[in-house]
Amino acid sequence: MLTVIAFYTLAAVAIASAVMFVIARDLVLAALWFPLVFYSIVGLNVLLGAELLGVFMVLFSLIAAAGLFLLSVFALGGDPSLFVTRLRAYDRQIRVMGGILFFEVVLILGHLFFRSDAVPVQPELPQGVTDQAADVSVLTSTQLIALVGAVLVLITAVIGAISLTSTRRNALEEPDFLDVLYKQGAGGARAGASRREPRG
Amino acid sequence: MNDMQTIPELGGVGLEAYLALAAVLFVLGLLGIVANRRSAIRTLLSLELMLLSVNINVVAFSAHHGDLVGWVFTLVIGLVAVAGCVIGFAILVCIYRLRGTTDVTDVSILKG
Repeated sequence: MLTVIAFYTLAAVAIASAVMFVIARDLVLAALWFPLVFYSIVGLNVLLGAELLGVFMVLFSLIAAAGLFLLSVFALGGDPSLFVTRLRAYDRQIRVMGGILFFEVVLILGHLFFRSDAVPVQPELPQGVTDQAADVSVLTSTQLIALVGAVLVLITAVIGAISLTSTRRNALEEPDFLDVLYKQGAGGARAGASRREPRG
Repeated sequence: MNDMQTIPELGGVGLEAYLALAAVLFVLGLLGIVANRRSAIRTLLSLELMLLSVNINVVAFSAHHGDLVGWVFTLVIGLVAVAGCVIGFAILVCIYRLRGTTDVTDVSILKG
């Protein structure tokens, strides 16, 4: 019964947070609603018996949150204290979200400790195959290759992102040549049009 | 090999509930992209929301069939999604430094 309540609570919170994320006009507020959707889905994964997957998803979210934090700090001129000051404007919303998140954690822990009707996923092994042999068969399969490939993609992406953001370009010293050309062309066209109008 | 009767219900509810939830979240992610076209950050987060809804489907079917392959797929999807986010945010930082905004409509020099 507790599992059913936990599912419907998590689903309701996920949908409500997603709606708030979509309709929020303030970008920071929308970005604050998103983790609530994410952690609700992590909770649903735990309900499905995928606790390890939930742990990995939390790790992914921490990486993404670190990226968002860096982006916000860069956007505010590289001063983290300014970021914290801006975030204090959303103090009340953050408290509400924290309360909802705490309630979700309590529900999930309750499900883990007091579950009776939920059956964890335990795939049945073929006869004569031990747990250890099954683990090795999973680890040497193509699934591991896909996983390692994804990790390599992530490492490459992180290296690329660091090299991309560490390249300092000053927009004032290096104006966008195409933009300048475009503006001159548009200005010239407008000037030409205004010159032509009196003749017509 | 996988006896589906060992998993009569997924977390206390049926598979349909998880699929319905995933469908609703996917549509909301799509709405987030369509309704907020200007903000690149919001578009990236909406894409993440759509990926999360797909993950719910994969994990639910994985639990329904008692097969762990879906969890591995979810991990791969999550890792690639984080990689995409990291690259996307790095590009956004570069655009912000050059333009002073992350408005997608301003970045249109390749339109022709």
